[in-house]
Amino acid sequence: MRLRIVTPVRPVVDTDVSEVVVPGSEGEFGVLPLHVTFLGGVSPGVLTYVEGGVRRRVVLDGGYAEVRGDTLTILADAAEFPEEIDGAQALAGLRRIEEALADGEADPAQTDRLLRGLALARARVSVAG
Amino acid sequence: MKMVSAAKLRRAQEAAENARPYGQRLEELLASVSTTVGEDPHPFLQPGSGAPAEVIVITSDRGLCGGYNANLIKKAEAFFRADEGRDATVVTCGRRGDDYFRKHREANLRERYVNRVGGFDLALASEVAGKAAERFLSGSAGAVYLVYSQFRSAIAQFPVLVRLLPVEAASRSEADVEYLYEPEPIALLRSLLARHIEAKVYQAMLEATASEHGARMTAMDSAARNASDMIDRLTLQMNRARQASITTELMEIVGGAEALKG
Repeated sequence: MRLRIVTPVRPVVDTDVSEVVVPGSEGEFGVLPLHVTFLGGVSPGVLTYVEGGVRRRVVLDGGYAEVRGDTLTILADAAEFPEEIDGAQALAGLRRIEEALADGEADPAQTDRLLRGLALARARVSVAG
Repeated sequence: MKMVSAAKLRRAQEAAENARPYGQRLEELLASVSTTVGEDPHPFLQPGSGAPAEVIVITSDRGLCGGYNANLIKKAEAFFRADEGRDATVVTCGRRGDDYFRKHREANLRERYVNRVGGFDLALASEVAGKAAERFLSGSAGAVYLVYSQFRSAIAQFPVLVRLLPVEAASRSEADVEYLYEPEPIALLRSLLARHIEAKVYQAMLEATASEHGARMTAMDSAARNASDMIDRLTLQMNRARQASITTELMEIVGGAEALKG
């Protein structure tokens, strides 16, 4: 099965995999070879895939997932590998968002954005060393 | 200057090429979702309110790039003279286009994005796209067009005019593929459309940046060549003049000596 992760900035992953777990917008779901044709949303979170017996992780910032034929395509707003994330920086980012939420001064639209950012920040912290 | 542009061009070209797959895949997804949804299409897919159109003109902030900006402005002006472009409003991205439209079509100028530090990026693209989409939805813009330069190579860039809204959803030929949707197709369609518009503006900005550097590189190359031609010509002229004055002096000396002998 082929996994492709594409972001507006660059194609990130294009490789053969045996198993993928995607943070779907309606809940996490796994994709194995011969999966049914599928199209859905992706929430900010961690995607894991098994490439040649090795499990790897990628942090995604929301997007779409499409299974078609033997290919899973993820269109993500942004994607990062754990080794690209600075742990201290990720933690600081999470703290900032938590504080902004705790203030309770944000309007609904802002809160939505913050909650989305929170999910991403949590995912980044969870994979960073 | 040519070397600087060449280096920048390489980076800009890479960015534009890296962004293409995303836009293409998104368009494919959009095509399959919109064919599934079929009935009850999204407002972005329906003809606009009949209000004058809006044109987003993407030019460069800086000059010294040959006819790059002039060609884009010409393209936009041609649209204003056409039927669909009557009374169209303008959104300018880039100072060069902004200078022109402020002088010639100030009444139609709607919004300006000039001298953005660091050039065009995703955040700016979503801001421009978001505002245009809002105006289209509220009916104050009947359609939204983009004028930018399509990058082909360092020496070939073409100004193009494309329609951003309403979105032209290509129907997928193999539309019989049944998808499992999660969430509902209509919800997916809504978010896909918004994303599609952003991606399109972003791609246009990247193409424009690559084109700008390509145009500047070519312009600077021919400027450098013209200058060296000029130097050659002037050097030749100078040498001739010097030789002529030496010859005259020699003649005078020889003439004087002959006269003394006499």
